[in-house]
Amino acid sequence: MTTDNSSAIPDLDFNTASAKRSRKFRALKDKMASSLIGFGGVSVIIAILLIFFYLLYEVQPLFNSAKIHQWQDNEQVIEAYPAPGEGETLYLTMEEQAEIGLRVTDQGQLNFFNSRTGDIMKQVQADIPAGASVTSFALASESSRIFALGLSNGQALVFKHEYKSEYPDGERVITPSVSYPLGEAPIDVADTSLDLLAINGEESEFLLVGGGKNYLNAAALSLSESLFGDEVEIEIDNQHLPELNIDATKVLLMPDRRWVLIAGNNGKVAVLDLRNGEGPAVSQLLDATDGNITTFDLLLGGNALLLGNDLGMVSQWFLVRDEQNLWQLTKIREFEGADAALVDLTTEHRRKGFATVDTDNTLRIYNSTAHRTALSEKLSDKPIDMIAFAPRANALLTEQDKVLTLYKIENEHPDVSWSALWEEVWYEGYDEPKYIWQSSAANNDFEPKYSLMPLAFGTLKAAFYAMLLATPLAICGAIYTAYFMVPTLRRKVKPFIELMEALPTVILGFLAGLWLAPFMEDNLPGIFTCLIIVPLAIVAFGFCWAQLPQKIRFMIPDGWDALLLIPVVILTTLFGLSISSGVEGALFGGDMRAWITDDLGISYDQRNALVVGIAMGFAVIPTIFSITEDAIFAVPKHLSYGSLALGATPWQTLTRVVLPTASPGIFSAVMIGMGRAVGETMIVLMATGNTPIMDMNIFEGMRTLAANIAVEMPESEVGSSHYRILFLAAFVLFLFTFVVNTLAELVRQSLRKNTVHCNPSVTEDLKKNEHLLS
Amino acid sequence: MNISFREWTKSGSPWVWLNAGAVAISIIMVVGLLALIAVRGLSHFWPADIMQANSTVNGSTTQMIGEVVQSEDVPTIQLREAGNDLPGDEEFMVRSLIKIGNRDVNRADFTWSIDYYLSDREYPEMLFAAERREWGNFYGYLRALKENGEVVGSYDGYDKTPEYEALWNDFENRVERALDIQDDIYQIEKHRIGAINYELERLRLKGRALELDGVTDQSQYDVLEKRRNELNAEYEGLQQELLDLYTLFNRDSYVAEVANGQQVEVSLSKVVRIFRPNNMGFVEKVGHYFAKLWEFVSEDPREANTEGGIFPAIFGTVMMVILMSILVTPFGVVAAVYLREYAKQGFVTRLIRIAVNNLAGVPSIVYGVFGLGFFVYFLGATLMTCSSRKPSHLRHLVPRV
Repeated sequence: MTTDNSSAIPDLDFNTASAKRSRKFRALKDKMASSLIGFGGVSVIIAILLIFFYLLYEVQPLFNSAKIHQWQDNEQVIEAYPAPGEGETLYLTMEEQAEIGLRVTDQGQLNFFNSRTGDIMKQVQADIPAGASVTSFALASESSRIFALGLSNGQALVFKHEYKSEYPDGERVITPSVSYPLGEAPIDVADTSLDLLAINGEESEFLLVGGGKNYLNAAALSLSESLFGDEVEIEIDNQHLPELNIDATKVLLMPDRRWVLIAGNNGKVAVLDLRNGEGPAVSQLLDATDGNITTFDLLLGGNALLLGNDLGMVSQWFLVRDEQNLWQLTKIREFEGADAALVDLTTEHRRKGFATVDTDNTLRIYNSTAHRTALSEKLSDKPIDMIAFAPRANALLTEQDKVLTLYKIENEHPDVSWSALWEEVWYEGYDEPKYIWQSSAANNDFEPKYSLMPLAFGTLKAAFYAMLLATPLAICGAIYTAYFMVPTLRRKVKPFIELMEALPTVILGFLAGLWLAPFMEDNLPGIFTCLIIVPLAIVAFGFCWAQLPQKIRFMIPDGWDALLLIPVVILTTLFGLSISSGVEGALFGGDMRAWITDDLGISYDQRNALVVGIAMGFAVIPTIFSITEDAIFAVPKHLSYGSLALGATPWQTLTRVVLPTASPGIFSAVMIGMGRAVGETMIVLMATGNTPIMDMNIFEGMRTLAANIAVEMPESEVGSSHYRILFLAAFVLFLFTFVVNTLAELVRQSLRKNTVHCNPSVTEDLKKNEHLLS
Repeated sequence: MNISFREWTKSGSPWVWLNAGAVAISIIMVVGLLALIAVRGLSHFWPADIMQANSTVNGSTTQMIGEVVQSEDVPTIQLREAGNDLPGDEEFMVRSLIKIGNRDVNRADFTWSIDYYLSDREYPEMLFAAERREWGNFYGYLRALKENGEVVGSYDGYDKTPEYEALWNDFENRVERALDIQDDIYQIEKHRIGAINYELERLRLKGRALELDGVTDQSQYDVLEKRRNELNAEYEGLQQELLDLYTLFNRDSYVAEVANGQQVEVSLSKVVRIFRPNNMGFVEKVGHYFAKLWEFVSEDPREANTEGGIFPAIFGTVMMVILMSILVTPFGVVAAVYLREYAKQGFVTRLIRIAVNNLAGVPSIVYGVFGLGFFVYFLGATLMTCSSRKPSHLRHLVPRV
């Protein structure tokens, strides 16, 4: 049954309408597939760029400068308005929402006014005794809202301004009021007119310090509720303070009610210690600054002094304990300022920031911890007399010749600067500048410490110890597997070790934290003994093996040595661990941990860098092993055969021929392993104490960038400085691994090119192992 | 053919051996790790024998019943410092952690005891353990079974007699019965009532939709109302059924003697499983082991995740992996196809290879931060504001700022 196909050419027309259509359709499909697949390929680059730019987008606001402009409501600029009330302004402030301002005048008026219009909402006239007048003003702190007026008769009045928010009909209504924390009656502070006054205290204990130029008196008040709680009794204890001939111009009292700071003429500052054993005494008298002191204020928390002079310099000071254990007022830092004299300085209510104005009418906003000038802007041509922050530091009131202007400030992240992140910072309460990470605390006037240094250090420390264990093991193992091992065994061993890479790191961390850490603490001498005797035992076994008669040696062919060593290693390790307590008794007095702490003076944590090194070494070994093995195995065989044929020993061939050829691959393997160790989260999170310390000590823990993100991300407020700094930490990690991986990949790409030139057969090997390489 | 050490070192052999050692150590580490996980994890379900012993501390003797969980050597000095009056000059003493269970009686599940204090250790066959839904494990001797508060069977000895076996079999049957009822209750509570609630909610939303569309035709509302009444009636019926089941469920209870002779009554509705580990043969233990293992992978956790299974966690893991695979596989395959088949090998492909390697190398925590920030706060917030045409009845829920 045959058919003759050739006899009749079938009538085929390739240009029928339907064929054309289907060709067109096919071309279209092809084009679409090409572009889709092209997009798929390029989208890999897009993905990495997306991560990069998104992290950058979250981090970038940290480094923005502050902005200021006149307040706008519904795009309507709020115009300046005359200062409400009569008299000269002593104090200016605002409430939480910046809706209501308070202006205290030297007529004893407390004027609450609408901060947009200047309309007086409530006016309270202080009850000044007949014949007396207001001579001074003192603020306890912005956040306590307690202030005092000093009178010419030596008495003082203490007030607290308060606000109540209500929501009748869903609209917010804020009602201001004044309370008297120390009663309405005037308090006797001194016998003379109170030209200077300072107040501080909380709840039931208050202290007022007041007097004239060279004469100061202290009045300590303690409030006690009477038995039935309906009356408050006040006890006053008056005390003379030592005389100082420095023509005091300003006086401040720290919140601990121990230290009085007095500004004098020619830049002098005196420190009085009220709790000296023998009564109040001058503890320090120093020439703090050139020129005259014009502003003299305490920063939020009351522990730091801000001192401004008529040369435009602001300096920050705190009490630091010196070697003799004495508190010394010490200059911590200076802020770059103007050339013009400072007129007023006001502190933020919630952050360690402050603002100054000078005779040049320039407003500057600083942050003390970050040592940063967030804003420097000339506000107007007319001289500014006074400035005041709203509690959220989002609004600023200025007074110019009894005209108030409301400004809006955008200053979200003044507390971050390059120096705060990466340099030593002298924090309040510390004896010296330090690297510290401490992002949150229980109290409100806490100074956040955002130094990334301890975290970066911890990251590198963990990676270093992990690499210390993993690199030699992985590379040596890879050398043997690729070069000496018989192929049958190699095909089993290699996937077996690579299997470890599939193990979730959380399991390693869990075991390291809960099993390995206590195990190592108990068997520390044993572990160190093993580190020494295992290599010795391996070499000794090798030598003994070489001494055995050939008959026995030939039973096991070359390349199976690794299996012979397994029992050797196991037995040696068990032996090492079993003599642990013996070694401990003989060398370390029975307790190696105590020996380390007492004799070496190194502190010992149960979850330490050694545990992390071993656990993370586990995680890194398969990565390095796999890539190194591929690189060595890919070295063309004709090179090593040539070398062997010329009489080199296998070891000589390996070190002189094979390893140099494979070195770029080994380098890239180490780089990739390093990248993995740096970014590892769960192991370090679970197997260290997560204390951000900077110490290379192998027996102490650390906190890494990655673990820090994992610990703190859930509790950080979205959009806050803390949140963005965590993004910055992620960005730093990203950049580090990016550099390391890119370097490794570039090296590998050049290696691939070179070997392809060398030997086409190797490309096959490389192709086979491509999935491992990429 | 003996070879001198010098020659041997010169040939580089020690280094080869060290390299071989590295492989050996790596293999041991992998095997050791897997073995450690397996032994530590899988041994957990093996039924431990229940020990009964007398503990004599400072002259007063108490009985102790429980499983020995862990033993360790502690320096005697340390124990003496902790206030223990210990004679002898042994340097170390064994201290054991004993799971005494019966949290309702003992207040604590575990107790530490120095082995020196323990005497008359024995493993009576008739001791039984009961896993419960509250108060943890129970250990004791079965004394009586009660039905509706009336004793239906009792036994008063410590020996294995046919009488006792009969009581035990009855006990097992009653536990089985209670578990069956529990299943029925679960079915009703979870599925049937759940279905009714779901439909009621749908009806409410339908009614709401009609109101929002301004439908005034009463008949449409009536249809919904009729269905709602039907469902409510059905719900009432189920409630009654449940009530009856609960009465049946709570019918039985057992009385058992715990350590120191105290008798405790426990409702069978609280019991998940009863067994007598000291009386079990190897095969029975294996059976128990696999039952526990199956429970571990297939059940919900009980008692604040300390008992029961991890099924929800397994479900979550698998779910996440499946979702991820569906979303990401096409992406990866297309990129690979592009690299191999479509792109001209050159600068762009090198760039893509670098990007791929970086995607693989970026620490997972960075992806976590990126995901949280980009998908949750950034895209999430943007999508929310885009689709903020909220129904008017929800508007009052939006806080006024």
